[in-house]
Amino acid sequence: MKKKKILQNHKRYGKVFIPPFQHMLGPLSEISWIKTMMPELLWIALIQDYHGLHEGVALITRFTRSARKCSSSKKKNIFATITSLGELTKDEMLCLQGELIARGDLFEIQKALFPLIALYPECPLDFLYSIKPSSSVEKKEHLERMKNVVGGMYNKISRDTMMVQATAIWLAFDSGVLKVFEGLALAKFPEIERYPHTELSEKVAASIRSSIYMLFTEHHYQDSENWPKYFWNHGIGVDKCYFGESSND
Amino acid sequence: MIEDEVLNKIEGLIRDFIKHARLELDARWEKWAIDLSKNEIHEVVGALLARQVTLSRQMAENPEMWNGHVAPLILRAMADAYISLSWILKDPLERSRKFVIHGLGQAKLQIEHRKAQIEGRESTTEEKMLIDASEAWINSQRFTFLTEVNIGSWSGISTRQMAEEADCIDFYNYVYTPFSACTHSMWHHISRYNLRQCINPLHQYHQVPEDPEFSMDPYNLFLSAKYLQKTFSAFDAKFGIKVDVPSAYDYLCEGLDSLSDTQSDDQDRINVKPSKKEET
Repeated sequence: MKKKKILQNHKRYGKVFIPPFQHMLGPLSEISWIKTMMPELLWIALIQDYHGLHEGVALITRFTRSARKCSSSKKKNIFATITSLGELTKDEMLCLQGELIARGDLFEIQKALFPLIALYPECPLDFLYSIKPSSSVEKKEHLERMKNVVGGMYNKISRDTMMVQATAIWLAFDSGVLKVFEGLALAKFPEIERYPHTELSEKVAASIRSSIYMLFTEHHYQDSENWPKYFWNHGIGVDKCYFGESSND
Repeated sequence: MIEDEVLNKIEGLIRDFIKHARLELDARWEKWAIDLSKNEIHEVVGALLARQVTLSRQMAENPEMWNGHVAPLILRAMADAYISLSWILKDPLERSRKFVIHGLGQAKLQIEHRKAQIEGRESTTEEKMLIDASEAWINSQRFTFLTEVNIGSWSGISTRQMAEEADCIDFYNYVYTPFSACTHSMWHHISRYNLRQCINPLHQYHQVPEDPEFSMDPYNLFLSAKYLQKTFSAFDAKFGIKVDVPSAYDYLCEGLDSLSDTQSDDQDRINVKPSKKEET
């Protein structure tokens, strides 16, 4: 019997076999959920973790609306990423602080983001704190909370992480940046609340997961941003390595 | 069964396996009608057979090597020798000569590198002796000034092509190539064997280097015996030789089976080989 040839669907260039996806679409630039998107959306996860989904989304929505109000940029900003919020000017940041104080939201946001700023003092959201949080106080609790929230975000399809992505997409709708045609799964956006219990919610979730990359395209985001790099590299010093059992243990 | 008894049995098994392997080599050499007009064939093929015995013996004598870190280094070398031999056996005289000439060229190249290294200064006595001895070794076979240096593969084709032409492409795909990862310390080997994942989510689940211990796995010895047997079989088939001595491979398999049976209540301490029929 003749053996089946391997890699038949690949395009061969000399000694290199290019997979069909890349061959047909050409070179792609990759953006990593873990390396880039997770640190950028972490603030949403922390707020939703602290205040619960409904209150969290409401707080985040008011926060980003205020940011847009204070921003002098003519460009429509989504303000879903930590970096984009950190790009506000000093005056805009002061304006935002004032708006949040006036609504009584600042303290609620500060409470939720406390571990992030305490452990990662160069986080661009540190402008929300007049007195910088110290990592020495309640460090263990901060670490545990951060590990819990960050650890959960690796699973992109878990309900909590799905809700983080849904909130980011919601902010794109809310800012007027994102509009969808009637009939598309994303047009049934509110169904995401039922995720993962209905078939439609799973379809909406899939649309959200594929749309989230839009927030990280060149128009909205530069891949050379410092925050994700700082977050991961600083994290090495924030806590030690842990290992499961091995032959050397 | 207490551990000392098991170790004694393994020691005995190793000793007898080596004895049988050497007997097999000697028996084949005895039965092979030597034609000195084509001595290259006998020297090249004979040396490759002996090389396989040496490699398998080294594996057997060093149970510390029976792990995924080191055993593939030996097994890959055995796979390489097997493919070379199989390809040579398709045209023994021409290819044996090619094999020798390429080897002489490589030795000449080494000498030239050595000479270049000491150019501009007086060579030490040891350096001079080394160069003289190497040149004498080459000259005893072919004058160095007649010896060509071929920096390509000795056969003029890739190992894969050799395996295809020698009807052992499966061996290339399933033995030679996988073991190459360890031999060349490629990513898909070292990432599995020399990295350990940190489970701290704040560290991006990165991996850190480690030098892990591995328990000895006699399956590696079994594989080396199997490749030795394949080499002997290829030789026998080509030259129509049938030896009367028992097979070292069969002996090892029976011994490992026997150990496996007596060890059924102590499975964790030592892994035993799978069925003889099981493919690599």
